[in-house]
Amino acid sequence: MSVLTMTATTKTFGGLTAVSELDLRIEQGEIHGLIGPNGAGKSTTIGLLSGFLRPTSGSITFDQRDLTRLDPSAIARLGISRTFQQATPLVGLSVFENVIVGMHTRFHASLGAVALRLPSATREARALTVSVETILARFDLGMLAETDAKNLTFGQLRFLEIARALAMDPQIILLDEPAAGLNEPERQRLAGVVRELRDRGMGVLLVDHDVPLVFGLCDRMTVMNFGSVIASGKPEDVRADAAVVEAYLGGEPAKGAAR
Amino acid sequence: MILVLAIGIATGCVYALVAAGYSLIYRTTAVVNFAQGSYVMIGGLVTAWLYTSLHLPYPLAIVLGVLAATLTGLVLWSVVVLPLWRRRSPAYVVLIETIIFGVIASTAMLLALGPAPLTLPSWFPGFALEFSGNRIDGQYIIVAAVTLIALGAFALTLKYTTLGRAMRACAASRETSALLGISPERIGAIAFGVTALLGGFGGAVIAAAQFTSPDAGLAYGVFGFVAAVLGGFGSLSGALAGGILLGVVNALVGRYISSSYQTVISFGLLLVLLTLRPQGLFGRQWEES
Amino acid sequence: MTEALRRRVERLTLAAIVVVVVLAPLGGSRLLLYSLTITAIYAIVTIALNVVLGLAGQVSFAQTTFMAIGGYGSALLTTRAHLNPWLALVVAALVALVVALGVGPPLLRLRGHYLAMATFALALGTDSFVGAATPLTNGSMGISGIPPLAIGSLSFADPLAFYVLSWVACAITLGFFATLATSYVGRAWRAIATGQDIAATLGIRLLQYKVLAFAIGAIMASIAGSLYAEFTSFVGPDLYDISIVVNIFLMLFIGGRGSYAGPLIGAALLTFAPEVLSGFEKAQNLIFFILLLVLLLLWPGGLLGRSQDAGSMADMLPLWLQRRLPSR
Repeated sequence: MSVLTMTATTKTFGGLTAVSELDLRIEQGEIHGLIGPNGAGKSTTIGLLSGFLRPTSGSITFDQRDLTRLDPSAIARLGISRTFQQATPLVGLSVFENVIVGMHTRFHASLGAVALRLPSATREARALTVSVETILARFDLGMLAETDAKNLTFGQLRFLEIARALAMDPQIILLDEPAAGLNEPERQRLAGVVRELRDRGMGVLLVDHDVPLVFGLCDRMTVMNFGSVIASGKPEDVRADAAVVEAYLGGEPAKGAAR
Repeated sequence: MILVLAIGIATGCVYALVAAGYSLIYRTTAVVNFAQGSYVMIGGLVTAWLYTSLHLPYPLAIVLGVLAATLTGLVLWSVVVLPLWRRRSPAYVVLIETIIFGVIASTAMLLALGPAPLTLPSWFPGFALEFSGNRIDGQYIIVAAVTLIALGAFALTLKYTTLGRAMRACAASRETSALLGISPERIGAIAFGVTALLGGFGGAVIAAAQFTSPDAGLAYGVFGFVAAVLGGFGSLSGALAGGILLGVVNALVGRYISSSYQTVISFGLLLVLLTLRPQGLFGRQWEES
Repeated sequence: MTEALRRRVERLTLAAIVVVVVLAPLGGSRLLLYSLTITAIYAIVTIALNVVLGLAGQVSFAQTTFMAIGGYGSALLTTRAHLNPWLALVVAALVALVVALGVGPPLLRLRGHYLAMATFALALGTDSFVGAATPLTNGSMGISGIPPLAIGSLSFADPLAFYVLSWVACAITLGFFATLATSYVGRAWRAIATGQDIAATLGIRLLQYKVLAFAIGAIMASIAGSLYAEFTSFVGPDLYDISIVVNIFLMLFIGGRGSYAGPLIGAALLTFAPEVLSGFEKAQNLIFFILLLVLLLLWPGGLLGRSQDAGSMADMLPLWLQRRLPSR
C-alpha cells in the first residue's frame, strides 16, 4: 500500500508563508479530504505534491522516496496524477486524444518500432485504444470522442480532466477543486466517480470548497487555515473540533458558495 | 589601437541606439522588432543620397533622412505589427514578419538607390583628435556625443514625462493600461516612431564616418540585438553598455582576426548569452508575455 | 473550414501532387523537372520544420544550420576525403545528429522568444561561419565539383534520375512524418506544444521529447542539404542565408503547419513563385517578399492549416470598426 507523505513542509514566497509545517498523509484505497478558506494554502499544497513548487523546508516522500528534487513529469511517472483547478484540456486535440495522451507512460514501444510500424507497436496502440474507450464510456464521453476538447461544456471538461488523470493508472490522484462550477446532478456523478477511484485502490486527495461534499466522501480529512493544519482525522471528529467550527464552519457556509 | 577603440566606441554607440530600440519596443508592445537595424540603414543611405545625388543642403538631407526612417517605423507598426497584435498572433509570427519587413526594406533600397556604398562628409571637416601620434576622425566623437545626448534625453523623457510614464505602464501590462485610459495602440505607434527616429539619426551621423549600403540593415539589426541581450534586454543603460562593449569587441575582431568573423563571434556570443545568462549584464529576468 | 473538410481537401491535394509529380516528366520541360526537384528537396526541410514546430511547437530557426552540415559535409567528404557520395550523405547526417544532440538540450530549455533568437543566431552564425572559414569551406566561393550520386552504372547526374530520387526521398520523409504524427510520440509532441505543464503531469519527459523532435528535424534537414549539394554539384554560403531561413519558415506557414501536404504545397509555391515573377525582373525579389509578408498577415494558419490557427480578417481591424461589422 503506497503512501504519499508530507512532513513538516513549509513553503514561503518571498516574505509570504503559504504553507507552514504541514503534515499530510495520503494512502492508497482512501479518500483524504482537504478543506479550508481561500488562501489557506490548498493550491500550494497540491503544487508541492505534484512537483510544480519546491518546498522551502520539510520533506515530501512517496514510499520512502524523496520527491523534493523531482520535476512534475518525474513525479507523474512515479504514479502520482493530478487535475488542475481550471479544467485545462489540451486544446486542438480531440477528447479521445486527450485521454490517450494520459496513457503516455503506458506506451512502451521504442521509437524504431513505432517508425517502422512493427506489429508490437501497433498491437500496443490497439490495446490502449480499447482502454481509452472504456474510460470514455465510464465518464459518458464516448460519443464525444472525436470532438475537439475546446467544444465541451464545463461539466464535460471537468470529467475529461479526471478521465485524463485516470488514464495514467495512477496510485495517487490529486483532485484540485473538481466540483467547482458543477450543478447538482453533476456533483452526484462526481461523488460516485471519486468513490469508485478509491474502491479501485487509488489514493485520492480531494481538495474542494464544497464542504458537505467533502465531508460526505472522505475517509479522513485535514482542515487548513493560514497555511497551517488546524484539524485532521476522521470527518466526524473534525466536524466536532471546536477550532474548526470557530475558524471556518461557524455559520455553515451555503453549499458551493465559496466560488 | 587607439583608432580601433575609437571606431569601436562610435559604432558601439549606434548599436546602443538600436539596442535601446529593441528594448523599448519589447517593453511597450512585447514584440521583438527585427527590422530595427533597417532604420539605421535608411537614415544613413537616404541622407547620403539626398546630399550627394540631389545636392540638398546637408542639414536638410539629415532631417529628411531621419524622417524617412521614422516613416518606415510607422509603416511597419501600422501595416504589419498592429494587425497581428490585434489578433494576438503568436510571437514568432510577428518576429518573422518583422524579419521579412527588414529584408523588404533593404531590397527596396537596393532597387531604388543601387548597391553602391555611400558616405557623407564629416560634420566639422578637419575636426580630428591627436592622441599619442594617432589621428582620430572627429566624426567618431560626434557620433558618441550625439548618441549619449539622444539616449540621455530619451531616458529623461521616459522617467519624467506623462508620456514616458504611460509607456512604462504599457510595458508592465497592456490590459491594465487600457483600463487606465492609456491607449496601448497609440503607445505602440509612438514607440515604433521614436525608435525609428533614433535609429535613423544614428545612421545619418555614422554615415559621415563610414560607408553605408543597403545590406547594412541586417548587420546593425543583429549587432544591436546582441548588444541588447548583452546589456540586459529591456534596460536602457544596459543597451548603452552592451552596445559599446560589443562595438569595441567587433572592432578588435575586425582588426586582429578578420572582419568576416565579426558576425560569427557576435552570434556565438549571443548563443552563449541566451543559454547561460539570458538576463545579460544588467538586466533582470524578463518575463515571457 | 471544418476539420473534416480540411482533411478532405488535404487528401485531394496529396492526390493532385502525386499526379503532377508522375506526369511532369512526360511534359519534357527541363525547367519544370528542375524546379520540381528543388521543390522536393525543400519539402524535406519543411517537413523537418513541421516536426519541430508543427508538431512539437518549438520555434526553431536552425534548419539551415543542419542543411549546411549536410551540404558542406557532403561536399567536403567527397571532394577532400574522396568518400563515396552515399557514405558522405550518411556521415553528414550523423554529424548533424551529434550536433543536434549537443546543442539541443541547452537550447531547448529556452522558451518563446529566447529559443527563437538563439536558433536564429545559430542559423545566421553558421552562414557567417561557412563564409568566413575560407581554409575549410572556400569562403564565399563555395565548393564545386561535387561528384554525383550513383548506383552501379546509374548515375544520378541525369536530371530525371535525380528527380525520381528526390521525390522518393520526399515520400519516405512524409511517410515517416505521418507515422510519427499518429503515434504516441506525435501525440506527446502535440501535448507539449499545446500545454507543456499538462504534458508534464502526464509523465511526458519534456526536454527529451523536444530534443528528439529537434534531432529528427536535424537529420531530415541534413539529408536535404546533402541532396541539394549533390543535385547542383555546388555549395556556398548563399544557400543558407537569412532569406532561406525565412523562406523555409514561410513554406511551412503558407502551406499550413501540422498538416501533411502543407510543406509540399508551401515548398512548391515558394520555389515556383520566382519563376512566375521573373517577368518583373529587378523588382522580382521585392514583390516576392511583399507578397509573402501579406500572405502571412492574412492567413497565419496557412492554406491547409488546422482551423484553430486561422485568424479572421476582421480581428485585425480596430475594435471600433469591428463592432460595426455585421454578425459580430
